[in-house]
Amino acid sequence: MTKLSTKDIHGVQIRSWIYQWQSFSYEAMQSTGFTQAIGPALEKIYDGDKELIAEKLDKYLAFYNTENNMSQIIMGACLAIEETGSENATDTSLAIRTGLMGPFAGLGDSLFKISCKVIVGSLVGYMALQGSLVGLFIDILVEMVGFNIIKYNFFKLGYSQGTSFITKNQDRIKALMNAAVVLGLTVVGCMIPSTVKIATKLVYTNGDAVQAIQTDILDKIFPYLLPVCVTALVYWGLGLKKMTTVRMVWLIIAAAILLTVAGIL
Amino acid sequence: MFSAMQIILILLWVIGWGFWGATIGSLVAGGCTMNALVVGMIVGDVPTALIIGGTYELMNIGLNPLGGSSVPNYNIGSVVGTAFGAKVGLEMGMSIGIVVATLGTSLDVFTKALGSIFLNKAKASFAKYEFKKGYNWIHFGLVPRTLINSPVPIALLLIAGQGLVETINEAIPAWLLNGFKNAGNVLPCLGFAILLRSLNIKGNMQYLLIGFFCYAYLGVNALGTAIIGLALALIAFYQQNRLAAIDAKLGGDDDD
Repeated sequence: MTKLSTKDIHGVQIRSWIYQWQSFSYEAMQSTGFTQAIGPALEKIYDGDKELIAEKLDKYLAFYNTENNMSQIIMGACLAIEETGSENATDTSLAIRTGLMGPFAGLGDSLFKISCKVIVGSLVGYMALQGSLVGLFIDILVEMVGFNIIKYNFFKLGYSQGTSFITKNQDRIKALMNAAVVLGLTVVGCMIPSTVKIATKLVYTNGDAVQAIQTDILDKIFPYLLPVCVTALVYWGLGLKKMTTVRMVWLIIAAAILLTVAGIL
Repeated sequence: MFSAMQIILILLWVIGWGFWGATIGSLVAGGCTMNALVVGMIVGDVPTALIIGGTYELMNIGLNPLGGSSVPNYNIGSVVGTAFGAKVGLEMGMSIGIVVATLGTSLDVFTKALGSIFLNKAKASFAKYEFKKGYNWIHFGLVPRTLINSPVPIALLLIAGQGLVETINEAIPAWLLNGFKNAGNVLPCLGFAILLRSLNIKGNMQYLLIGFFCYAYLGVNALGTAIIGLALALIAFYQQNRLAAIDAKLGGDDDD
């Protein structure tokens, strides 16, 4: 057994930083990336015991998939466990990896993917449409600088404290996730009427009086009635069995073309 | 339609950005705008690029490839859409981009399936105690993702350029293009609908209503609404923390 030097630990951290798409496959997903990150450290820890190292690497190639920022905590924790060199270190490490990947994916996806996209992405798109790059600049700051600082510290956190940090602060994390949902939903409430553009061309003729259904009737009943109804309809449709995102895209395109031909849109 | 130089520059960007995205991480929230901006600079039409990039960005908001799933690839869409949009007009470019983005899903599935080859090569190397070789096979797995996923279809479409647009112009009637234009206006609702399915909407409807009211009745834009949203989020955060603290205290009393 050899102790790891700071350089070895940094090596694992750098390789885990870029692990996500290293040979991503449907059967193993991110475990290939995980294995190439932790592998060289294992070789050092179990110095020369080739059979043992090969066995451990093979175990690490079992299915693994989570959100890539959160994954840093898991990787740091697994490295710390392996470094103890105890007999069942790999089994403990794998149990933690498998046990946490689900909850961590849920947490990471809602904070770093979904909320980030709703809040920052809507800003980027909105400002770009007005010819401004300020939104994009903010996004670069958030994702290229902010997220990488988070990633860097998450690995250290996992390595030094293990996963106890997360279990200790569960209530705060739950509150944070809930707060992100509140902000996200408020922005989405504004984005639906402002970006979904649906207006009907139909007119209502009664004798000599001609009324445009959109401007004279619908807009007077309720503003943005059609965007709200269509979003609700698509929301409902997504819950149907066998419905996928891609099928829904084709369905929307087909429906839009049919309605255009019929003169409704 | 595109000069050789433009095609090369666009491909270099796509490969470089793809590699950066597959390692350090791409922009989740601003990827479409980033792609459109760079391609717009290469083909010399930044205003069109920003409109196409911004529109796709909004369509892309709810589309998260979570858990290894595949969603329409608006990043390729914005490269192709911007390149063609600058040459043959915004609407035509936008329609081409939407179709390319949606077809791009199958390529994503294909390249992810290719990953198994590299996984098995690595497994075999590890079994033979050739650890370095095993890691290298894993690194190699980046190649299909960065080279096939976007650069190949983009190269083919750009080279087909003039011919492609002429064919589309001849073969596709005006009503179909109008239909696509309308589809482009409706498609953002899909992103929002997916998002509402992934966010916890039960018990949180009120926030959706507040956001809607801000835009529909007060005319406050997304940024302004985000300020109100942030305030509401902070209220919710502190309230829940306080409740948790009270719970902990009550639980502690039980122990005494």
